[in-house]
Amino acid sequence: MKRFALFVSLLGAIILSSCAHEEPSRQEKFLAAAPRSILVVPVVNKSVDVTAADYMLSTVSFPLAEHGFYVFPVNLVKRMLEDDGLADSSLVHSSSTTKLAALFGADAVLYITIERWDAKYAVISTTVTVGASYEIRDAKTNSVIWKNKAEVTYQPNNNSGGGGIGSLVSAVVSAAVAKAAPDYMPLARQANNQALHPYPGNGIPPGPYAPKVEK
Amino acid sequence: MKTALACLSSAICVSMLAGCGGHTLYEWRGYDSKLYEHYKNPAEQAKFHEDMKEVVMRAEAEGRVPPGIYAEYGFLLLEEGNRAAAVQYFQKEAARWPESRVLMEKLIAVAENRVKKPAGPAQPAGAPGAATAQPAGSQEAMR
Repeated sequence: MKRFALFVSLLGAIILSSCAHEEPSRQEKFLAAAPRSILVVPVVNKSVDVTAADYMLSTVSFPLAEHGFYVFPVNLVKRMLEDDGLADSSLVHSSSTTKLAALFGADAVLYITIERWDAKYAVISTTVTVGASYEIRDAKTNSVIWKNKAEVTYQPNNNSGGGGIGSLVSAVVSAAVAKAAPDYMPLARQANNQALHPYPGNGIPPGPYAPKVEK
Repeated sequence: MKTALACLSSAICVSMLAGCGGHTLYEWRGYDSKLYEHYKNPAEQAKFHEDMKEVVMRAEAEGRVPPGIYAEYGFLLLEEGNRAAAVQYFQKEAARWPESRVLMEKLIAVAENRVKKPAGPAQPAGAPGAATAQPAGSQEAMR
């Protein structure tokens, strides 16, 4: 029985260590600022796909809130900024974090810039890429307390059905499908995950509503 | 004692597993994909309203409403001119999430000031005037 308890505790410790992904040196500033709430402002889009910024915005609340932060409603924030003459997200990104955060009562602001959101078409295959950089600035000090970037690429598998004409046809079909409507959303979500909570890496520490893990 | 310890250890393991994957902290009900659909088809405002209403109702029934969701729905109601209902949802957000209070107080003030205004008939949802009436209200909140 005692051994069983020990085993269970050990198992717990293993799970615990697999959960822990902090890299203290890169998280110090964030931990010192200890924001409870994060304002996600509209995304700056450096890709040529005009729909990318809003699509990206829709994916961000989930991973941040599940990580334990209060996340301001992204669509409400976007609408309020637009109504206030701040429809240009690059204008929002270049304005004072302190002033911006004060409008909403936020502790910190997350700025996302889309670096890549494209599909490259080859003859029989298509490569879809989403890349973004992430930066959190503290409302009190106006300074960057965390940043990271991620790039995710998807290339449809061409290995269906032992080669030959069959696989060539299926590759052409999958390239055509991707060309018609490449689905960037899974890639955007994956980019968020890689940037916000990599295992291990430069992720953001859990927020105040994250389940407490006791040692 | 030993049994109790074993139980405790197991409980800790289970809770850690829950924290690591599978379960979510909140009941999202497809909020992100509903928002995505809205950005994809912005003309379908009524559909977005219904989607968000369902997200809020179902999350509330589960007792696990994600941060920002009450306010998101409240703002839709405000944009549609349904000020009294908007205030209710802003109040719910403020009560559930203390971090939202600064913003919710501003939005409640906007909604209530506009109630007091001797304005014309209330804007029906999706009316052309509803969109243009909003900026003034929000600017008040931003100041």
